[in-house]
Amino acid sequence: MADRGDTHYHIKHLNLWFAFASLALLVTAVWMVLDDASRPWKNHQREFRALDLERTRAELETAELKAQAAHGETLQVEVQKAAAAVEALNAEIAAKQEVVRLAKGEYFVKESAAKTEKAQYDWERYVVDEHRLEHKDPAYGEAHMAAVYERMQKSAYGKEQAEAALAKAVADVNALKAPLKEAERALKVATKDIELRRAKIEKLDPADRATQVANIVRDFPGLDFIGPNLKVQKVALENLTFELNFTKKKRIDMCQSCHMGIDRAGFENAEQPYTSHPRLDLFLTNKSPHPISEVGCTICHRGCGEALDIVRTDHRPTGDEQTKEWKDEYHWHKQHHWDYPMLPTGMSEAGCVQCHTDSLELIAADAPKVTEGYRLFEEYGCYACHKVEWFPTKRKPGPSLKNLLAKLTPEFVASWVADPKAFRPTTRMPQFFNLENFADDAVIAKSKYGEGRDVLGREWNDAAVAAVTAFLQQRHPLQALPKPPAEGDALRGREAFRLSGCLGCHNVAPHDAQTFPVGGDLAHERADENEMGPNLRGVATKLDADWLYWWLKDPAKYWPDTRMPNLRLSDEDAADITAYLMEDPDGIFRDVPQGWQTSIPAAKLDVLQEQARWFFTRDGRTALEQRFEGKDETRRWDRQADLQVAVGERFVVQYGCYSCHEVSGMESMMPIGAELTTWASKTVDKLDFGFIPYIFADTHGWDQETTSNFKSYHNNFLEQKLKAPRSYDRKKIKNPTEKLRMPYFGFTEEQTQAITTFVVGLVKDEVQRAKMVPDAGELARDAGLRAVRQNNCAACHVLEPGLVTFKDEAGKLHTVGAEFRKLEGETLPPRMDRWAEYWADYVAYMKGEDEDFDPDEFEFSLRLLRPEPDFGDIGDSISVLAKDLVSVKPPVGGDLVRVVTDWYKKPFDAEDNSRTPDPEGGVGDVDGKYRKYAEEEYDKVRWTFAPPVLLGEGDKLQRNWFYAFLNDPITLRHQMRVRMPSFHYADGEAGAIADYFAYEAQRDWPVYYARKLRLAQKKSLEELAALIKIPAETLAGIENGSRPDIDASFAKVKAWGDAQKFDEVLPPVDPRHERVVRRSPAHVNALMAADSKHLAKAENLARDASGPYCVQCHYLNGQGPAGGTAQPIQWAPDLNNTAERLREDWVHKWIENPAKVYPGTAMPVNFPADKDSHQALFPGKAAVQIQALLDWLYNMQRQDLPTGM
Amino acid sequence: MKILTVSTLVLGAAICAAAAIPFTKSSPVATSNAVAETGTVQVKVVWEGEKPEALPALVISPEASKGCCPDGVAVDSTNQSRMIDAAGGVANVVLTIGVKDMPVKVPEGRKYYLDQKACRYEPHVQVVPMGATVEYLNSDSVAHNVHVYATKNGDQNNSVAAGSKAEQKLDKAEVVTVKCDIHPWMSSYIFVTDDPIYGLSGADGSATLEGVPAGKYKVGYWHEHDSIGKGKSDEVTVEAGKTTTVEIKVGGKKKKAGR
Repeated sequence: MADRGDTHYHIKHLNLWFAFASLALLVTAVWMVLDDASRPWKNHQREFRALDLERTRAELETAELKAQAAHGETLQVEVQKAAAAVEALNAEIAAKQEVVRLAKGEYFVKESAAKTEKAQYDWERYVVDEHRLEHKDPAYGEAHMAAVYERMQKSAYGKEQAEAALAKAVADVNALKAPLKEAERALKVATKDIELRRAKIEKLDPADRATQVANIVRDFPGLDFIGPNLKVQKVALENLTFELNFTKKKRIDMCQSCHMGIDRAGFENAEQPYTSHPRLDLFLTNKSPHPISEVGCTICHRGCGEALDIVRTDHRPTGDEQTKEWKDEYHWHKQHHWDYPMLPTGMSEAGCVQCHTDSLELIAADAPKVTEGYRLFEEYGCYACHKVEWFPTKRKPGPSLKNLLAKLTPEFVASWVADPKAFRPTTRMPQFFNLENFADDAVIAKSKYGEGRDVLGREWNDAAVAAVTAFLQQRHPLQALPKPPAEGDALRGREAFRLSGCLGCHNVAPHDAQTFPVGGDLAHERADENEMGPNLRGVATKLDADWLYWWLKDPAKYWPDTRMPNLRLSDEDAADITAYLMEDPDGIFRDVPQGWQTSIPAAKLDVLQEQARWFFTRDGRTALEQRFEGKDETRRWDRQADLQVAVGERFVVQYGCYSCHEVSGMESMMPIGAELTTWASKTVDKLDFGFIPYIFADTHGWDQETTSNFKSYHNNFLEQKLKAPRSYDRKKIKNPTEKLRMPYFGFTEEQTQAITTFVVGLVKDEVQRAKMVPDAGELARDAGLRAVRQNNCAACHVLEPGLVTFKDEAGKLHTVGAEFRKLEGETLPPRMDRWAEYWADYVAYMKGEDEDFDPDEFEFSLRLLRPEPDFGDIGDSISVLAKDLVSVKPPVGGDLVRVVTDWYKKPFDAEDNSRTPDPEGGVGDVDGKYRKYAEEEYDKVRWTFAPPVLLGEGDKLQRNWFYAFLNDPITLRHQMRVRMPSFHYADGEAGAIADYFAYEAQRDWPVYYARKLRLAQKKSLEELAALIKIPAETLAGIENGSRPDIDASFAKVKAWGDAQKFDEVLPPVDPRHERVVRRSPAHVNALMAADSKHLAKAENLARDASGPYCVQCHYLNGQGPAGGTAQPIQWAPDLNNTAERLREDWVHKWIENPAKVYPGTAMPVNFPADKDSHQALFPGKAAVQIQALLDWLYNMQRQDLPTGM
Repeated sequence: MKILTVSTLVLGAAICAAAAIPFTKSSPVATSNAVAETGTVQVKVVWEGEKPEALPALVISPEASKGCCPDGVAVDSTNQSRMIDAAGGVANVVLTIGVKDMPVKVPEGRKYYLDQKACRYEPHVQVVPMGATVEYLNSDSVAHNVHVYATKNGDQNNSVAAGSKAEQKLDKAEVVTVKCDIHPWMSSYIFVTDDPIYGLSGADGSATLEGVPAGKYKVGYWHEHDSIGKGKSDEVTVEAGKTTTVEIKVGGKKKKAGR
């Protein structure tokens, strides 16, 4: 354009500028497009597609799919053959198709006619109806209508006939073509997996040129807004919100844009971000309880779900190395304006808490870390000072102090308060004094309002401890206990201590962490269960003997909240145990850690006064000084004793002792710690890190960014707080009453991590509608698991069998619920809890015996404790070579079984008979006699004298009896010295335990049913699954107790089983509606009507010495077995309560084959199915005799029976 | 009745006394080898060192053994767990010789029994070839339960009424323990062997193992008591048609503490 000269700018220049700007814009646009095309998530998607393609191709090469392909080829041949055969019939088919064509025509004609007639009829009826209404002539046109109606019916019939003819003609044609169709269908089914993969490959890497080009165009930079292959993957979560600038915002998680393999199996070993989620059975997949479409990602992991790269999502590196790597590679830095940083690796379980507050017990197996944190939070009594609104435990975790002078000396109290771990390293009581913010040589205050001398930490602590002791003494005057009525004997006590069950909850492990030989005394080892109560080492030095006696008799009298149950000890047993502990013949109970001694530290008067000045500042200087000088008659603080008590009370309040312990007069005081209900939702800037980050920066050489990052995470604060609770006071200027008060617990690194994980999970509830709402069964299980844990049932009872994993010849892994049989040369079965050590020890021992011993070829014998369809039923033995053994998981519970049997079997020292009160080395039985038991009797001793195993207990016991028994235990096994204690259940605990076992039996029922069904059918997993028409994995899932599989497909398994008339496993009894049919009047009357001697004869079966002679071993109505002549080891449980106690179907199963219920039991098969025994007593087959015996067992206590009873 | 015949043969003099009768002593093992190619091994098991005190008698309460022995005879309380004669011969030691390429066989028509008589098992120890079927008899007039602790062959626990029986095929080599839960002092061992040559030492500690192919062997031994346990003899050379003697010195072993 020419310059017209009428502008004040230069057109040419402007054009140049314009051209330049356009060019720049163009370049920028291209740059933008290119940059957009190479965003990290797009690159990730490209890489993932390549990875997926590679994997799918590799899958096609697997043996399984190759076999399928080969099979497909043979089927393809079949298809061709069928096609040829059909081809041969072509003429016939053509003829038939002609018939079809004609039939179609005919049908069309008839159908039209029928429609016409129908329309005609409708019209006629309308006309007639009109006329009838108008002329009030209801009979009008009757004959006419009948004729029309008949015409319509006729034509309709004609249509139906034509329809049938057509259908038949079509069927004829199809019948001729059927073989081909069937062959094609078979081919399709057989190659389904292959076709799926081929389709995927075709999609990812199309062979067709046009599609290839189309794909390039779709993802071409600049064109990829239309319909790209690479696109953001997101889930929008309606019910899950988070707080953003004071509003609630729905979560949108786009994580899958990069983490493309996260919800798919098969990428376990792929690199991040493509790795599969490690627990697809629990998360993300549609079958799992947490499908990605409902929960997304950030609700558990936190971080920013709407960002699309590693930095903006607020990912969190693990360790210095990764941090550096990320910084270099991604320019990673903490997103300081995002309040929900991603949880660190290893703490993801924190995300469980927000939804699972009602079901933490249920998820324990799958979320071990956070549930461990939850348990520690409870065990160490964190909840007592730090309120967590929903926390289920309310009891005070420490013992009542209301009569502590009856139990302890003031000297002990003082030394204990000063440093509890110095006496008992494993105690849960934390340390309050002598910590870093009151360090020995630090100046705590300048006395007399800043004008006096420096008060040092050492003086301050000593005065404080003395004051607390003085206060506790003054507040709780001694309530003297009566003298015990019996004199004890230490040797008898040792036996009573072992056999009454004390070692279920207590251990006597040495103070230093020592390890013991695997064959050693369990009492000296620390296991989970035997740490329920305190380690008893050294207790004789602290306890008053009379107090101990009365404590053993009834612990709740001293401490109503105690978890120590009442063992209903006789006076003699209690006195004996007391004597054993106090006299300590074994050097255990007077053994205290080195350096431990008890004394009340000397308190300086001026330090006490200084403490009073700080605590009573509000009372004013004048008043205080008057008290010190003795001028205030109400508070004569010139007397040190009075001053100590006053100061001591303030310390008790200051440190919140009453939160954990009952202290008279402080029952209603509020706990002192910060509430933690939603602690982790506090933004991180509200946490006082003090100078710790800077101190660490100095010591660790951190740069500014690292220092500031340290302050950005909740878990860092907590971990430091737990490890060094007073460290946030470092370098701070504080007066003594302002200093931090959190005590020192001495947690290990693992414990710190676990507790931190739990507390980091305490967030504001953002998941109201998505929250897990447990059903009745789940609630019962959760409450039950809790109650079982709280009352330490597992200390004495085996609750779940051990699991043994081994590989077969093909290298496939199998896991069976089983126990080891005793190994050659051994008297006890192997310990499964310390398996590796045990085995190494055994190998060394055997090599000493026999130099040719080959540990790899050693054959283990396992006894199955649950039905394992691939290996056998309960009680069956299987052999596994040592080299095939992969892993061993110990049974849940039952350590006391071992302790008790060890006592019967294995003296501390075989040479030393003084271990028992019997000079011969026998064990005291309940009848007061001493007997020795031989090695071969181990199994029998276990079944007879040790606490019973509770495998499948819910199947066995009637719920209501169980509940009553828990509340008020009665003696069933008269031979046992170990006792079922009377527990002090919290509200609802007994019911929860009874319900738990009942529901557990119900829950396990599908598993049990499926396994039994497969055993009965003698089928492999694949075969049976194919018959039921469910995938083999689903059937395997059911057999392993997978809830989704059970919910989805168990009905099919059951229906199939019903069709096979499989009824070996009776359905579970609904615990709320339990009935015993055998006791119904109808049943009994029918029996007696048929044979009035029926029950009498049945009773004879049980009583007559020539028959099964049940009463040879079983107690009955308080009458000892075999007329009172049998020895305790022969005694079996009282039959008295059968009708109320046991479930009929269980008793039936039990009598039929006891070893299939409790493998190893002494109860024999009394009615072999293949023999007709006991005919003289009760004629009939074994099954009939068992029924009769059941009739008697369930009706023997009835008063209303006509005769014979 | 076959049972009776066997019992009579076995029991010999004493009725309520239990002596270890080497069942297999007189049952040479048939092999495919001609007799001329095999020799005999004469084994003597002796206690080395000072003879230990006899084990204490079994504790048998009169009440529990009510009905066991007719006519008021008390149940024999001899502890058979370790029996050593005056010359130091150890009874009831199981002796076996493994021979390469010579599988163990159950002699045709051979039956094995474990009887319960006067509330003791008879015999206390026996050695049977792998694959043997053992019948558990009850010659008493009271009921017993035969509780078989067999880790490999499978446990079994049947109540066996007076005069009745149960049976079990033992297909796998192991030491099977048999107990009665009603009479806790009763116990017996069945050594199921996979070696073709086997025997049991008699009251004097001696046993004759016949039909051993010529060659060099070590004789394996096993005894229920920990102080003897199991082990092997020195190597012996067997020559065709000749008898080789070997002495096995046992005893004094200590059980590993805490096992």
